[in-house]
Amino acid sequence: MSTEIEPRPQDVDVTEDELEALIGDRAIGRDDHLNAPGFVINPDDVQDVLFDLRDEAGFDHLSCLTAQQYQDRYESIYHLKKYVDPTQEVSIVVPTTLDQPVSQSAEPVFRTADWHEREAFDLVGIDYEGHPDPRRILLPETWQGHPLSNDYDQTKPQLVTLSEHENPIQPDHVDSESDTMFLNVGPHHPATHGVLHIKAVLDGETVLDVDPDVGYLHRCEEQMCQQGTYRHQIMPYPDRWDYVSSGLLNEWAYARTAEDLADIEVPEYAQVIRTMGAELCRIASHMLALGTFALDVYGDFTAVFQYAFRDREVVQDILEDLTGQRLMFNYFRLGGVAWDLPEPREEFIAQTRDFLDELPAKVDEYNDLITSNEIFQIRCVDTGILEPEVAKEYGCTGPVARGSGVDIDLRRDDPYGYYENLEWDVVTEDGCDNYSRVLVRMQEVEESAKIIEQCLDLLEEWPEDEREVQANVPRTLKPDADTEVYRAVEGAKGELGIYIRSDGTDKPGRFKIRSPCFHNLSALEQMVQGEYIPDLIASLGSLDIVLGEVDR
Amino acid sequence: MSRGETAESLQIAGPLQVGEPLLPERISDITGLGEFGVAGELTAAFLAAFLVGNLMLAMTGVAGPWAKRKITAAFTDRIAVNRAGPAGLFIIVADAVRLLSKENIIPEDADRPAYDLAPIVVASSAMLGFAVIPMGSGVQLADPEVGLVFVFAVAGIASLGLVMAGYASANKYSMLGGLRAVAQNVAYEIPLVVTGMSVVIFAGSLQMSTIVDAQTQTLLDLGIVSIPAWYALVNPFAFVLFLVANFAEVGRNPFDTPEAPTEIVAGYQTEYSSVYFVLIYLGEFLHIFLGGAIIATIFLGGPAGPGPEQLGIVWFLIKIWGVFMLTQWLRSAVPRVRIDQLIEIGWKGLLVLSFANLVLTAVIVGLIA
Amino acid sequence: MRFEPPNVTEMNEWIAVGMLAFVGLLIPLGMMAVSYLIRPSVPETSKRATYESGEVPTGGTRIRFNIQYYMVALLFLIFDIETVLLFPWAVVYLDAVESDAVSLAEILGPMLIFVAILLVGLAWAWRSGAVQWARSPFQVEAEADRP
Repeated sequence: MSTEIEPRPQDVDVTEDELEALIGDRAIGRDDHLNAPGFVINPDDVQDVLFDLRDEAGFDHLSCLTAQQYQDRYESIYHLKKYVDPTQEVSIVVPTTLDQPVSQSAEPVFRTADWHEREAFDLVGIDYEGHPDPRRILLPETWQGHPLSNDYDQTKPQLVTLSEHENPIQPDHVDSESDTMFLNVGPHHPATHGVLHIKAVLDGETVLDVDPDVGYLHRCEEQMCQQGTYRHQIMPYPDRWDYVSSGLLNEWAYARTAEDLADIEVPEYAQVIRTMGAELCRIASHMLALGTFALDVYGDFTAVFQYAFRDREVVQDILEDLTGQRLMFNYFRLGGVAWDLPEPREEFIAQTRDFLDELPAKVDEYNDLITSNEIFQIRCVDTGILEPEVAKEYGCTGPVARGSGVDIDLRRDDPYGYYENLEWDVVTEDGCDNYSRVLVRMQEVEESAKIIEQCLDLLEEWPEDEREVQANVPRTLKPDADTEVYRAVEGAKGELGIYIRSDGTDKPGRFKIRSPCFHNLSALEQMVQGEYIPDLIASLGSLDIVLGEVDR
Repeated sequence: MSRGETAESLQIAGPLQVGEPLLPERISDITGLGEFGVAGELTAAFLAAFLVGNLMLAMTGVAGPWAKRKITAAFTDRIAVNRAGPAGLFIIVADAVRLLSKENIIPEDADRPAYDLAPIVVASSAMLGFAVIPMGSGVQLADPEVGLVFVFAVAGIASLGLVMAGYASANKYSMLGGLRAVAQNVAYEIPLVVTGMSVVIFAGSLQMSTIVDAQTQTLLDLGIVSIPAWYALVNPFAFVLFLVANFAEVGRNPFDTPEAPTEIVAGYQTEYSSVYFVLIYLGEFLHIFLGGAIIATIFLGGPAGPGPEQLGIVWFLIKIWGVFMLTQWLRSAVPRVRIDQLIEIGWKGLLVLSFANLVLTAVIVGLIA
Repeated sequence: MRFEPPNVTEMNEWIAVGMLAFVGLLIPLGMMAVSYLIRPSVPETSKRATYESGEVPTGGTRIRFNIQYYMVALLFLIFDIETVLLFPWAVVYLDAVESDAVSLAEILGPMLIFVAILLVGLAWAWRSGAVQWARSPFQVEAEADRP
């Protein structure tokens, strides 16, 4: 076939001019962002333009959808990327009028737009025409108004009684003639890793359909960030998104976005410390993922879980020495980190090296105990299949995507920090199943250890008078009004992106978080249809979601 | 099978009364109750049953949970209970009081008589199984000729209790758990019984004491130590098969699918609280120990062990606890199989293997004899 | 005084078993009684609601439910009965072999044939897919769609 000889559209770099030509006169204006060219289009052209961008120009990753309200209009911004090269970005801006905020849905183009648009509707109040499932997602069905819209009345009471919150699916499933059983898994269930509610439809033990119901842990993180000043008040919040020890990785997402926005140069020394800290967090986070996944498959707080926690504890101790905290680190600052390595330096470095030296033996132990166990293999191999194409459609990133053979890692593809100067590999597995995702995480722990090792070497030999931990950043940051930027980093769970629009004050005008867990979770329905209940639980565990980050 | 057949076969097998007198007889001997005719007999039997019942209760209900905590903790690098009393032993008392004094919450949709009966069925059936187990030192309540079949039959009643609990709770998780309990039983009952049968071929009797006696022969004499003809050593293949089937029978890892805490919350016992929960929990422990007792009796020589015969019960308990320890080890180290895999392992693996074992045992015994 | 075997002992045995059954009931009932005396009772309707992960229960359990091991359960009945038939044979086997009255083939043969018939039955059920967890129609459909 001739199509095989032609390069795939996503492999070809697209210049801005080509994009302009592709969109043509459907673009009614330009609205460039710091990270990407932006085209303003009419609400009726959304699918048309996105189809062209996906099929012709190869933008196959709808990274984020930001909805916001201005004084005179609503705006939905589709941040598009390519899986092969996330540095190629384009933003599609869709303004809608205040009195009729209706825009065409992008769901037919990108399956992941489903949840994106539900969230945009829920929080901002834009209606997406043609959306297959226009329900609220984070807030209860009975909620009044849209909290991030300008005219939202915060003093209005939002009493939601239990009877009002009764399951809307109920009428369909009380039918005594039905052959299926409707089962709520969560929010109060031993295997949901927090307060997740999965509405499952079962035929015997077989799962026919699942519908994750999120939002139990929604804490208005976006709004809280919009009310904090750039310089110091926002940095503590990212720690609270993915709160199981990925703190520094999350902080980096904000640091990177805000530094791009305010044009701050970070000293190299600080970048090395950041890189090291972030990878320590990644190890801690993957250890937890491994432990809880074992918990789901083994079914008890077994040895694996405890071993994973024991080893994670060592990382936590190192992080505590470095940042002074065990959970909410708040260690990064715009332009660097809070402070240098703890004194005595040698001791800290030696302690960290000890951990790295012991790690291979521990990884072997996990391999003996878990991955080479035959029962574990029959439980995990070929269950929870997530095909690479499906993973991309659902916007999966991080270990979940890499377990499906999608070779994406922002640390390598969209370099930041000190990663590009270090030797390490991106781990991918082609199994697409629960087992692959476990393997990816376990190998990533080893890769992270490599990175930390190199960072330690650098830090050890860094000349004493060049150890600059923070750039000179003004006390009050006021980026120019209407500067927009979307930046993402490789969090523990995947692409953690942040969109900030400045409005000329010292606080962001709009702060939007792109959570990897949120989108990884949306792929669950594809993974478990036709699987058995135990595999539903295992698949959920293999996604390694943290509800704090899903619900924000 | 009918009693007639067994009795007939046993007449071929040899003397009915093997070894020492049973516990009720001893009691009536010591107390002189035997002189009061039927009433004395009943009283003696009751006293003996009470003794055995409470011994099992003490082991399973009291020492079991504590040991489980300690063993699991050892496997997972923890310390476990250590505050109340030496090695945390008094926590047992605290636990008992705590659990018994909890409010009994009965779900509104529960099917009442069944819901209330299920815990009793689970606990009693397991206890009844101990009636025919020779525990050594003369502690054996009864020694009917059909002992082995009796113990299998009684152990199987528990499944009924689990289904009752699962269905009567009117809870979806419970129902799934109850149905899984049946599936499990359906998958493993036959391999268990057929493997047990291969022991009967050696012993030529279903009577527990005969089976134990048959194992006192010497398998191999190494001068200083002589290895007894425990059926675990005579036929290790059957032993392993029986162990595996037994874990499924008592619903322990890797076959604890009926409970499956992370999947269906707590399975059939999800809706149970207070004393009902205690009873189901107790029943499960009794079942683990009953499984251990069966294994010890038909494969590990029952109360046999070095030292004087009076130490029999000590050896017997050590063996039971050994099996218990093994279940806890597996619990800590092995993942749980899925229910459909469990059916396949049972029918396509163990069942075929157990028949192969039976036939091979028969052929080999036939050829040697 | 000693009981005279075999009749008295035999009877005595089942009395003891019955007594253990009695004790087996007595202990749970005793625990229930103790618990009844010391536990509080704070009736409240919402806590008696059926537990379904903290959500309002949707639909009941009294529904038509796909029991996916139905065929296996039927097979179980057959095998269980046939297993019982094997027990008397197993009991007399050793004596029969040791006594010279019957030849090995005579005692072993019928059983081998019996087990063989059983296993042929099992093989047939295996081939026709009865010895496994039945897949739901949905799964069968999904598999047929797969290339």
